[in-house]
Amino acid sequence: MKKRSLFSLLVAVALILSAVVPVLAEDVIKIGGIGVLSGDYGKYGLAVREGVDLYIKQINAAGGVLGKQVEVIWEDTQGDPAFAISAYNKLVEQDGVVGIIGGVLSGESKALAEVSAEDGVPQITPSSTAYDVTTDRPNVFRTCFLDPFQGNAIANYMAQQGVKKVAVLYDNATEYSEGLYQAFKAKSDAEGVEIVATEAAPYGERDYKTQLTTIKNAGPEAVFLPYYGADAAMVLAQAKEIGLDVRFFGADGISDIVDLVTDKSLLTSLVYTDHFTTDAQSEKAVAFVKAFEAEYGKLPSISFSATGYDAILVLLSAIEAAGSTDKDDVVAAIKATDVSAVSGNITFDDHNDPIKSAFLLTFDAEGNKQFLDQVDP
Amino acid sequence: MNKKTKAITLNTLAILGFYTLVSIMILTGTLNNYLSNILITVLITIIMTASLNVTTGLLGQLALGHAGFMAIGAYTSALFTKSMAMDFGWSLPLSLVLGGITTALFGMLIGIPALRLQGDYLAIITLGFGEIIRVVIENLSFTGGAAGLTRITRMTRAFSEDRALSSAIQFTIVFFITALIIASIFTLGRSRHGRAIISIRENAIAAEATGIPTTRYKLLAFTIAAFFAGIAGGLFAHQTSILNAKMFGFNKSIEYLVMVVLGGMGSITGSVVASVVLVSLPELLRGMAEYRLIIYSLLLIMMMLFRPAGLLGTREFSMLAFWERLEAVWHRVFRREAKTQMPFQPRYDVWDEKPVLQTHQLGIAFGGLKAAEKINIELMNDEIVGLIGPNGAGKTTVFNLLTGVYAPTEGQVILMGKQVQGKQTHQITVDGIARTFQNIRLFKSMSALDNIKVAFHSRMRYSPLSAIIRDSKCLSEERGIDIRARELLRVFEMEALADVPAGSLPYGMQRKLEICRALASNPKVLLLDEPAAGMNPSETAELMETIKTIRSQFSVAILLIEHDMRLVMGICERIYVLNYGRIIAHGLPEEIRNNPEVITAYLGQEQAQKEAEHAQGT
Repeated sequence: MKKRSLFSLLVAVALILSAVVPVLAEDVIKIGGIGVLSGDYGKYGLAVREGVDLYIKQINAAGGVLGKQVEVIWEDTQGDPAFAISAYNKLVEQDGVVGIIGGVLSGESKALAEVSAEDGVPQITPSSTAYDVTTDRPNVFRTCFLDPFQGNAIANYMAQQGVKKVAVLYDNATEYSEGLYQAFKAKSDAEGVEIVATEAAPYGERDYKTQLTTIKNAGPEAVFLPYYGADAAMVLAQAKEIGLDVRFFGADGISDIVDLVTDKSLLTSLVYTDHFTTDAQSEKAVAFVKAFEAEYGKLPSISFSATGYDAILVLLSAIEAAGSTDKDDVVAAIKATDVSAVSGNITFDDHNDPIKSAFLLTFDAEGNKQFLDQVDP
Repeated sequence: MNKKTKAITLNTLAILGFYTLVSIMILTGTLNNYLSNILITVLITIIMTASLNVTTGLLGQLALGHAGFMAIGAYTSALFTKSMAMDFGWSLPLSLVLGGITTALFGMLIGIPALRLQGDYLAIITLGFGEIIRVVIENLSFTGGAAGLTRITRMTRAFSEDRALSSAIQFTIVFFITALIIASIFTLGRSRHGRAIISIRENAIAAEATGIPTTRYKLLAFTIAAFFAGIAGGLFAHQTSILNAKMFGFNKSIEYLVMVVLGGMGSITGSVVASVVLVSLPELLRGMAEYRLIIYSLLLIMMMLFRPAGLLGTREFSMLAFWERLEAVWHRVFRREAKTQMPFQPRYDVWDEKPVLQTHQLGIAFGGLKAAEKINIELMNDEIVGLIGPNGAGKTTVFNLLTGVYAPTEGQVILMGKQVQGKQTHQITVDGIARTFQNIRLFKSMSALDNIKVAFHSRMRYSPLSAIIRDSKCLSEERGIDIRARELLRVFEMEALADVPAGSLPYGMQRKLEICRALASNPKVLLLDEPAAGMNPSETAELMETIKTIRSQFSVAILLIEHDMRLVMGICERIYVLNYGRIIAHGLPEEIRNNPEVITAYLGQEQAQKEAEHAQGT
């Protein structure tokens, strides 16, 4: 009995020690990667990770940054902002990372911004499109465009295509969907596109026929669908079932729809805005697609791989430019960024948002993404 | 130093020692922000699980919307500190109290309709409530809608420029709030209010019949749980600095429930241990990345397989002892030795001349079926009266009418000159009618002594607040009740069994304990429903003596239902015979024994038919 309690005491002491012993300075630059890597939205985080890891591999092969190798330590948030904060604390306090790539979802990024702003640790999110993630946060940047921008772009494109009557199906309980809807509404009003029906259904509803029937009865020429891929796939299938034969317009969150639809021909009616297209002709983009395919044996079909690649590229270039990992210097260097990245040329405005283009994409009957148009800010 | 003082000293030292150690570790930076943040999460989780344990463990009602309460507290508190241009040192405590109170109000609002239901139904209502809260928050503009609230002042940085110091202050606040809440739940649990709540879990019908206003106590437990959850929410808001309705979804409620079950339903220390384990486990497993969710689930399954009653079952770590010790010191220092009060005074006038209990054309109809009608019964003081009749005659129905379990549809029940029909069971019990049940209804997991103490409930006066702070009023009443309850057990020669759980007593003892408990509510009329059921002849003989003793010692009128004719004929002074819901005969035992109508009723249809033929023939 005594031996046993002594043993458990030793184990406890060992655990505590392993937790509190500070990380010794090594010849490695550590970066923290935080995002949802499991659960319903896990694929977005995993896409980011693939992009980031690819760049790390390339730069380490090319000699690293400031002569040191770079290591990214990933932490899963399960989509919970509270876990994001815990992960941040662990990475910064325990592992001694000098910058953060993340979060993936807007909720995570906001929670992270809340704590990183206090420390001044540079943070770049590759995928949080909500407007106020970077507001009053001098240390927080992003490599994706914003919801108002893509909402505008879609409304504009519709007007160009001669769409007069449009219906909206969105999730009013989700910030992403709600934000896109607001931006789209404002722009479509201005462009003279009439919204004839507005229906709300939460993600994961699975049965959207009631809303789609109401929409069908309103007789629109197109439907704006600010959903994620899984739900959008169900909407498209059910729209066909009830005979709602119109065009659908989505935003970047819908980009993972391809693998989720069995009847790929459904996708030909869909147009959406994306951060990146595998058809992009720039030298960087072509090289990225090629390297990605070589590394993972597939195309970077979710564009967050590209924005993730750009995020780590911006961060590491800034460290190189600053000549140190001092957080204030690095933040200043990021602010002064002007690089040609995979998803376009990146410079930051006063709100720490990149000034970059959006791509309007659609699909062919085999589910391959087709480039339609490029929208510049 | 005796064993008790030793244990108490150890507890005190452990708590203060833990606090000092952790504070120093935070101040020196040994516990960095990451670890201290986990510690805060653990403490907040402890409040959540312990408060959920009040409804789920102590009250025994399954509640699935606890995270909804947390959300109300979190939003209220955060909105308050955000909108008040006040020093954070002031606005934080104010906001926590406000969050707690608002949540308690919501708890009450939900509780009033919901607590009429039990078990699965209550679970579903609370589940629905939790979801409604989430959806409402998502759709209101002042809560930030779907985007949620951001930029809430964080405790880690708000108190001082020095991060370690601010962190240590945060720890101090959260630690002592948690300790205070846990201590409150403990002291409340051991008071008359706690006993009332636990007795509802054990047997709601018996609790009501013992004089516990069950609806009020369910509501109290629910409200207290909501109050504490609201405070936890307020702390959570100022820990994370960002709120989003999705954080308080169904999964969160289930997470807390899992912790309660894992720690042991009804064990507050179990909740504490489970919170510590289940919050730190995912953090410890961080290194295992993809496998950690699997390991976490496997550990949960294994714990449930090997310890199905939870880590601690219903056992507790002795905090109470520590509390009592502090009080003893307090009393010694200030010489405020409270006099033990004995609130056990007979309150009744002498009812020698008139009947103590009288019914007047009492009856009840369930739809078209008249289960009892025109029942006229009179009981004089100190009388032992039998109520007999064949199976299904309506004897227990009469008891249920007398005690208010059923509200009579006609007639009156007059107890000592006052009409009591239509009152609730617990009120009638307090007015002076106590009963036992055909199938024993004891509070099984409570000790024999506590079973008796529950029945003393209505004669104690101290408030829940007194119970929490254990003031002199509470202590002296508790001491008085302890003495009285032990005396009562001594009368029935059960003193040695005082601390044995009622459920593990032998059958005969359980019957006795139930009678004993009924007497503890100081009745003027005692209703015994088949007290000899399942007893052998020698036990029955003993019971007859006991009943006689009760009558003489407690000056109580006894009405008893019994099938054992030896017992009925042996001790009853008068007998009422019931058949098909009506009184068919009434008189002295010998008269009843020879009454032809009674014989017909008992001997059955065949005999009755013969008699009818016989009558036609003549």
